[in-house]
Formats: sequence, structure tokens, C-alpha cells
Amino acid sequence: MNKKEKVKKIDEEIEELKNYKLLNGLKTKGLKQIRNLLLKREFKKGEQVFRANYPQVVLFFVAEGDIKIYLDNDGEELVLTHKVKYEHFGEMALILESTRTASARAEEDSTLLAMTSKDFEDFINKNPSSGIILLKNIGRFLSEMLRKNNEMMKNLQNKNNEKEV
Amino acid sequence: MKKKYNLSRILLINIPLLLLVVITFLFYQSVIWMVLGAIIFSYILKPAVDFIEKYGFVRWAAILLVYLIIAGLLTAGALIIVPVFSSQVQDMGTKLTDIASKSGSIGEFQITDVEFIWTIFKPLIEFTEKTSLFDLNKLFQDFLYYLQKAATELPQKLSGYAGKMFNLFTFLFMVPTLGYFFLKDREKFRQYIYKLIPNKYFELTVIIAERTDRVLKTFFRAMMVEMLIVAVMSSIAMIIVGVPYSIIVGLLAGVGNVIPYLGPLVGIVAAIISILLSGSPLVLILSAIIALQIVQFLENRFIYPFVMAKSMEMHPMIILLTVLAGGYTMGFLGMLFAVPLVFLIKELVTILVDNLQKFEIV
Repeated sequence: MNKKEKVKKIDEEIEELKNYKLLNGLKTKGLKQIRNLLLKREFKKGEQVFRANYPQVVLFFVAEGDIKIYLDNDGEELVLTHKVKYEHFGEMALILESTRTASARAEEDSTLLAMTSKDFEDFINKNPSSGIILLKNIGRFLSEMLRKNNEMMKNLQNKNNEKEV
Repeated sequence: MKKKYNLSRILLINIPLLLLVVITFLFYQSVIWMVLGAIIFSYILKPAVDFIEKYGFVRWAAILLVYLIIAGLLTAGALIIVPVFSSQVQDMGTKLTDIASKSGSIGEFQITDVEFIWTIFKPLIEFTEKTSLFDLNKLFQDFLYYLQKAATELPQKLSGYAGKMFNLFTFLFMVPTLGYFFLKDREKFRQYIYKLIPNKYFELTVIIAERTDRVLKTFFRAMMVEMLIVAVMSSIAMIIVGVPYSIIVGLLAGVGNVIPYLGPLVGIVAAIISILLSGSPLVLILSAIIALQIVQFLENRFIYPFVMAKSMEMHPMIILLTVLAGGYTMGFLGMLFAVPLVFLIKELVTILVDNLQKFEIV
């Protein structure tokens, strides 16, 4: 009885993982392993997740809540985006051993699931087929971000040109 | 005023907490060694389990398969090596008692009773007797006395202290059992431990944990593999050269080899003692040293670089001093573990210095 409930709970958690955009297309077996690797973190409203220039070692999935991603522009906060349920942020940590490019703060009480870059690498080595899907997803997100940034640059230049005229 | 209130509050919370930690430690101290042994055990076996798991096995099945393979190897090894080994140990024991009985009791034993020692060291012995600078005879006598005492008391101790034997068996039984859980539920344990870490220190802890893991992993695996390879190579070399008690010498050389710089001496000393005890021709000492040096050369040139891929990057002088200090403070175990321990602490300090500022903790 107790064990049955436990198994059911695990199955539910794995089903839940299928909703995450980054884990799109992964099979149950891969998700089962990813569930074991995720570290649950609870953040209070207003609590800092990380700041720009902190070393980056983990990616965060948002399981609950609202995380504000922003740039510190001379004390003024330039809000880039909000990450909500089933989204993720900090995926660059998995690819690049470097520092954070933006800051993140919980806008309300949030539950995050962290995945370390080492676990990510181990997972890919252990499950190459799932790893390819995961890497492709990450690549897609980064490319989309680049496209968005390029368009933003174009818009900015157009605005500048209009001003000059 | 406010500060005082805070202080008393801190004391009120922390003292019972500290007491709880101390009591917990005292209660569990007898099993700490088992847990440590199991952690080391699981560290060494993890790559094998991971490897098997990759081929579609469930984790518990992979662990059991690894256990079965190890049990099989141990049995096979025991069937081959134990008869030879035990006969060699027995032989060595009788040789020792022979020497002792020659002069009635070990207390009256004279170093000059052993013929070949007399012929070789005659000038030296005469010199020491004349100058009475130090008593070589007494030195050797003491050494033999302790050896004899240890050899005769060992079986007595083993059978006499049934409780201790029981402890040993529980230990040998518990390590693989606990190791099974560490291997199987590693992620679960990790998730529990990380729950205790505040968010502010989370990523720093991840960095520290991963670096520690890497250092320990490299060290334990490298140590086991080197021990095994050098023991086998030295045994073969001793058999080829014709040194008596070849397998004992080979095993000692293998275990000793783990100690940096001083380790290779263990094998040489073991070989010399075995040659002297058996009364083999003394030329053998030279060929044994040459053979062990060849093993050393092969080990340094071909095995060490591969096994210790990311070896301990420390200055040779520091390593030597660390080994000596470890030996003085903690004996043989100290010599074995001083270098990785110091390396680990050095790494942790470097990480902390690097990262505490980056994470704006200090």
C-alpha cells in the first residue's frame, strides 16, 4: 500500500517532468534518471537566486513560482524576462564554464529544480540518445534567444535612424 | 541591548543543537568506520556499476552483477594464490623458529649464529664490538624478538578474542551491504544532504562537492589499480629472479608502492629480508633490486601517467615532506593518506578563496 503510493508518486513526478520545455521529447527512462539528478530548492519571495558574474554551475527549472531575470544597469534594473512554471533558466551553465550573464530573483515564493553541469554531462554520457535530444533542445533555445536578440538590435538601430532623421 | 538578546538567542538554539550533534556522534561512532569503508568501497566500484548499467541493466541488478564478478574473482584468486601463499608463510615461520631454536631461546640468540651473516658482516660486527658505538647484535636481536613475538601471538590473539573476530566479520559483511545502498541510492542521499544547504551557499557547495569527488575518485581508483599492477609485476619479477617467498614480497611491494617516494623501498627491504632468512645466495639481493627497479621504471613510465591522469600537482619536495609528516603523526596509514588529504585540503582552500568573493559571501 505504502510502496504503491510511493511508486505512484514517482510516476506522477516523471509525468510532470514531461511538461518542461527543455525536456521535450525525452522518453520515460531518461526522465526517470533526470528526476534522480534534480535538486529541489525553495526560494522565498524577493530572495536572490544568483547575480550576474557569479560562477555558473547549475541550470534551474521552475517548478512553481515566478523568477525575474534582469540586468543590473548602474543600480537600475533592466528586466529581460520572467520565467514561470515549466520554464528554465541558466542553461548556459551546462555548456560554458563561466559566470552568469544576468541576475535572477524570486518574485514570489518559488520552487526550483537544479541540475548541475557535471550531472548533465554524466547523463549524456550514460544515455547518448536522450542526451542528443536534450542538447538539441538547449541548442534550439539558445538559437531562438540569439534570433530574438538580433531582431532587437535591428529594431534599436531602426529607432536610432528614425531619431537622426 | 539588541546584540545581547541575539547572543543569548543564538546560545539557546545552538548549544542544544551542538549537544545533539555530539550525542549523535558518540552514539554512532562505532559504526563510522563501517560507513567510511562503505563509502570508499562504493567509490571504487561505481565506475564498474555505471559501465554495466549503460548496457541496459537496472541499477540494483548492475550492482549485484558487479558483486558476483568480484566474488568470482576473489574465489578464483584464492584457489590459485592461497596454497602458494600459505606454504610460503609457513615456511618463513619455520625458518624464524629454526633460527631461534638454534640458540635455545630467542633471548640468547646471537647474530653471529647465522653463518652467512657472520661471513658478510664480520668486519662490521667486529668494528661495532670494538667501538661499542651501537650494539648491532642487540638491534638485530630485538628485531627478531618482536617478529617472533608477533608471529607467535597472532594466532592466539585471533582465536582468543572472539569478539574482535566477530567485529571483523561484521565489518566485512557490513561494508558491501552499506556499499550496496550507497551505490543504489546515491542520488537520494545527495538530495537529502543538499536540502540542508542554504540557498546562498548552494552553488558553492556544488562546486566543492564536485571537486572533492573528483580528487577522491582519482586517488582511490589510481591507488587500487597501481597496487594491483605493481603487486602482480613484482611477484612475476621475483619468481623470474628466483627470490624466495616471491608472492609475499610482491604483495608487500604492491601495497608499499602506494606511498610516494618511500614506497619502493618496502619491496626492496622485503626482498632482502626474505633472501637473508632463506639463506639463499646473497647475489640474489642485487638481482632482486635490479628487478624491482625495472618494475619501478615500467610503473613510472607507463602506468602512473595513465592511471593518475590528473595526478596530484604538488612539488616533489612538498610531497616528500607530507609523506614523512604523515608517517610521524599517523604511522603507515598516515603515509598512505597524507598526500591525497593534503592535496584535497589545498584544493578546497583554493576553491574557497576563489569563490567566496565571487559569490559575494565575504
